[in-house]
Amino acid sequence: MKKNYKVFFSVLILQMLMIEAVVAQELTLRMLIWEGYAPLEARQAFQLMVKNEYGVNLKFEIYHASNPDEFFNKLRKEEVDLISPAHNVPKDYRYNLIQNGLTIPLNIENIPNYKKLMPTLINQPWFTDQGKVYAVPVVHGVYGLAYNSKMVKNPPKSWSIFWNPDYMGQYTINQNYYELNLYITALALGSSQNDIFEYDKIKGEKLEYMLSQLAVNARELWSGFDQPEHYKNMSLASTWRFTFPEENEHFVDWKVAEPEEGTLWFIDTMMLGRSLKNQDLLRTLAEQWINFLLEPENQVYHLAKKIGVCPVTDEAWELYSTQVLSDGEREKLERLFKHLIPWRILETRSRNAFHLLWQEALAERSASDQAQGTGTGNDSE
Amino acid sequence: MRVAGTVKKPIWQYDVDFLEKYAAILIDDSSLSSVTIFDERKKAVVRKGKSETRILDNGTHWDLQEEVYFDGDIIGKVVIRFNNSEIRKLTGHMMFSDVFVILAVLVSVWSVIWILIMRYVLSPLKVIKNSFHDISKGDYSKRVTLVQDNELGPIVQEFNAMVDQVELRENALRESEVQYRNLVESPSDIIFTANVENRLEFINSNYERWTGNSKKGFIGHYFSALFADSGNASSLIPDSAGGIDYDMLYEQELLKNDGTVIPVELNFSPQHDSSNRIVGVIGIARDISSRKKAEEELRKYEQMVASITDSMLLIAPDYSILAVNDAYLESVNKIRGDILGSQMQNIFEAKDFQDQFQPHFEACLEGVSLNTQALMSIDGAPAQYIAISFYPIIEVDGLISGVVVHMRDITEWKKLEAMLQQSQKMEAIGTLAGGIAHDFNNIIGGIIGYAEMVELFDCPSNPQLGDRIEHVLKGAYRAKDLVEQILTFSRNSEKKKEGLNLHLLVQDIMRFLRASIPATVKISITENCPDATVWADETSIQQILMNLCTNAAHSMQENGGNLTVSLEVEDLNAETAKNLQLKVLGNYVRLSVKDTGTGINVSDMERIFDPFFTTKSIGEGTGMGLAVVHGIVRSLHGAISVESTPGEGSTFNILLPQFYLPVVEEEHSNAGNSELAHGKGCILFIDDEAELVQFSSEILTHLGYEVLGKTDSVDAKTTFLTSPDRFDLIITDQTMPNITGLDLAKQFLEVRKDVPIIVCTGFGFPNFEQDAIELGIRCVVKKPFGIRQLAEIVAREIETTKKHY
Repeated sequence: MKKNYKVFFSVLILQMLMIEAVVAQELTLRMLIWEGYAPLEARQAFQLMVKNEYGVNLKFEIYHASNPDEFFNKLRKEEVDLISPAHNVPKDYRYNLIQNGLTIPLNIENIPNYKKLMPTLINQPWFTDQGKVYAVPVVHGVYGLAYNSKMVKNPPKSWSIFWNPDYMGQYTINQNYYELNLYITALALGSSQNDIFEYDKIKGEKLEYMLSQLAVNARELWSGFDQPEHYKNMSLASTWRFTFPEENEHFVDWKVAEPEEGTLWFIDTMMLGRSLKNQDLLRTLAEQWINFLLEPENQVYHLAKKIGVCPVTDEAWELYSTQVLSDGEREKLERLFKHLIPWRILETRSRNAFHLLWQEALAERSASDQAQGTGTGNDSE
Repeated sequence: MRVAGTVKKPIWQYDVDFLEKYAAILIDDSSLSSVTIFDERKKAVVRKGKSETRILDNGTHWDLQEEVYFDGDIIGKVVIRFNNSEIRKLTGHMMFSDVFVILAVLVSVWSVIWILIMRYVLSPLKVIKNSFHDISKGDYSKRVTLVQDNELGPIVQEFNAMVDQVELRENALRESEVQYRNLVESPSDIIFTANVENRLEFINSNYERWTGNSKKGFIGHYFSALFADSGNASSLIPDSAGGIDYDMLYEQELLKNDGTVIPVELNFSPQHDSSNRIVGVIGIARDISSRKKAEEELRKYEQMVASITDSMLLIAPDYSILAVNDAYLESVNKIRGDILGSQMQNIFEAKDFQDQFQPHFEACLEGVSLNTQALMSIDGAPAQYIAISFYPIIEVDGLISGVVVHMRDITEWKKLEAMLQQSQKMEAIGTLAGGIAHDFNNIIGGIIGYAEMVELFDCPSNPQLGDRIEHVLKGAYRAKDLVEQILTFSRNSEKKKEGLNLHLLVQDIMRFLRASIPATVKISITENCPDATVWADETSIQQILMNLCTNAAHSMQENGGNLTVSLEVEDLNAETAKNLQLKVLGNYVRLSVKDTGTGINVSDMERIFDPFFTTKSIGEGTGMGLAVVHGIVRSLHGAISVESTPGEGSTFNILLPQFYLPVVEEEHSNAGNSELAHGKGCILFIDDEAELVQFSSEILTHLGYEVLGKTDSVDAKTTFLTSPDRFDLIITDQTMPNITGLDLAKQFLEVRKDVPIIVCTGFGFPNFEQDAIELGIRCVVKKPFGIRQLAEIVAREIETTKKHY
């Protein structure tokens, strides 16, 4: 009897341990994304949902990207499961994320909100290959022209304001996306929206001179996502934002301008890395996370309003434009939408030439700083 | 060449990484010194070279060039530079080994010679030297003895005989010295002697008594150590006693042991030997403490007078100048010797002397101190405002022996006073002009409105009337532009800058200036520069050219000449930019105005940009022209420089940063003959000018609208609040009694958020438009406006409202 008693307790303890092991299954989703694309409130809500539905403790391991090369490098080493590239990255010749097998197709059944995307964003060739969807847009935004309305009397109507001597040393632009600085220079010089993506159509001394002036006269060059402190004491800036979060003191008086030449447009997506190929549950959770990000509340209150980007689903846009934006802001965005220039995949020659020109402009900026013996050039990471 | 084939694709694709690596591989070849790869625009994309090869290479190299083709077009070039560094290295090694062998042989030969010299020459010489040393120390008992009798023996014998003679003379000298010492110890002065090297040999006991120092510490040292300013004392006798001026008295300070000094007067006498050669000096120092104290007092008073920056003169009753301070000498650029003794009449113009100086001077001779101010010329210099004070010099016996005249240049102060007055005057004119302009705008608005109505309704049936009414409208629009200019002036606001192409503007301005420049001046414009675009406002460029050309014409008014205006674009280098205090390098547009007139005097050159500086006669110029030009150029981030040769002419160069962007030509409306825009809707029109309300209502009614006109803002407010949904558009004046247009609009928008409002203003203040738009105003219209403008705006706003709401 005494022996049976011991066996009974041993079996009971073993069973408890097994149950505990199943209940406490822990998974980690590793993400390389732009700052702000995995808001804390959304993560907590999703983790709770996963726990309730699957009994899994889901952890997020988040890395913030500063340029598209990082997506490629981390995917190759299988160090991340989820990335947030812009629409022109997956099929860029430098990465070929789909053809090289670095990313895997998405199961759209796990992303029911996919069908609610705005018509201009759904099933675009950027994200699909052989009928399969590889990327889902989560936000869209601009490389826009921002101005401090206290310092700039009239809203700028052209990118050419960056070369206005009155604002010399009073603006900040992006350091890493060199092609965008080439585009705005070409636009300011009068090139058409189609021509700016081809080096042979815009090349020349004027372009090189203007680009170097843009780099030399910038007070600061920012990287990654433009932060509030980049705007301190500036008159002008290039920005990823459609709108500026009101709660931040550095953004008071900052507005986005409507350049007549048009504003450069990106769509940021979510893609699954090949590391998830054989992890069925984690892959499903990653797809459901993408779906969760497309929920109107997350789109509007945790992404658009906080960062200044724009929602991608019709439902979210309706909520955002009626509940968050003022009439003036909504009208302004609608006007801006009419003049958007989507980023394109560049040919090898154009991309390399743009890179070379920007490197020369940066060298001139350094030489100018040394010649002047002053520190106008601050480049922040 | 295979290289060209290899780099073809990378060059086309600007694959700099590949090109860098490929060039790095090539440059590993020791026969190459550099590899450079150019793109299609001849820009070096990659450049690799060897620094060590560059040092060895004395220019013996050769280049291999190959153009790179892609699809039949040249897309780049590869330049490979070879050198002869290997041959040079081999030659270097051979030369090194030869030099080593030669050095080894030389060292061996030198060692053998050295041993022989030591044995037969240097050792005996050492014995002689040791004996000499003892004798020179005073041991005359010593004699030289050599172990070996060689060629040095006779020399040693002669030397020993000489030592015998010296011993005898030394004894006689000691006795003489005792007598000499007694002689120099008795006087009250300090007496010392020094050798030709200035080293102290003797000093009497007065030195120890005066200073408390022990003289032993100074014997053998430079005598200058006795004095506080030892550096100067040493320099009295720099090389030898022969350098001293024995007729001169030197002033020095003797250093005491408590750190204080005794001023002394020092004189020197030469000290001779038996051959009458100078062997040193005898110095005598005399205490001059009392005299120095008196001199110091006097010097303080002199310094006080000398430190005054105003001119001071001491004048005798007969007008002769007795003394002047340094400030006066500097102001007239003369030396004291030229001034003292001359007459005051000579330094002033005759009239100035009689009117401004003589009466006050004579009154001062009666014992009265006086002050006056006058515009006078001193010693032929340009006239300047001078404040003059006269103070009598009253002697002990009460007689006045002369007058101290104190003169201060107050020209700058007078200029500032004039600038202040000018500034206040301009401000008053601005305020007045602004007030008049507001009323004038309303009057013109009426004229334009009714004239356009006549043109619209009556002219089609009467073409003659059309011609006449066109003249009325032209005049009215000119008046409108004039009012706009007055308002711009009165606001003193920042002018609107834009990308301005000087190419056309300069020609326009020069055509306009031609009429005001004498026919004897030939004007030419030399420029072929379509890219001469700058960031500026048109008025500023006009002001710059008008001022410079007017000055140029003035300098050629007597003999005529050539006035040349030229434009060019130049790439400014770092040195030039630094000299011109320009912060930004790059391309600049150079606008030059050159004349062949009288030129600018060198003495005037530094002041030409000063406000109110002018060389013109009174009434011909204000002296503000170049100052204004300088100010404008600086505000445009540019620089101005001038080159001039008196008698030959001047050139003013203005550098402005080139603005690279395309200049957007303003769109000129050609809607003049098109149909007026019609529409439907109810409009509330508010303006305190009844004329304006009447004609605007009439024309809008004609265009199909229902118009309710109001001249009272309070009445208009009541009308709107009674039935806010009745109106499709509100048009209101800004400046009205009781409630302004913006306040009225604010109250309307609170009641009905979507009502479109247009505000009209003839006197917009800075940021008015932006403030209005932020408030929710649809559009701001500048008064006066024409019928066509009104019709278009009304139709547009009503249409926009229908679409969006």
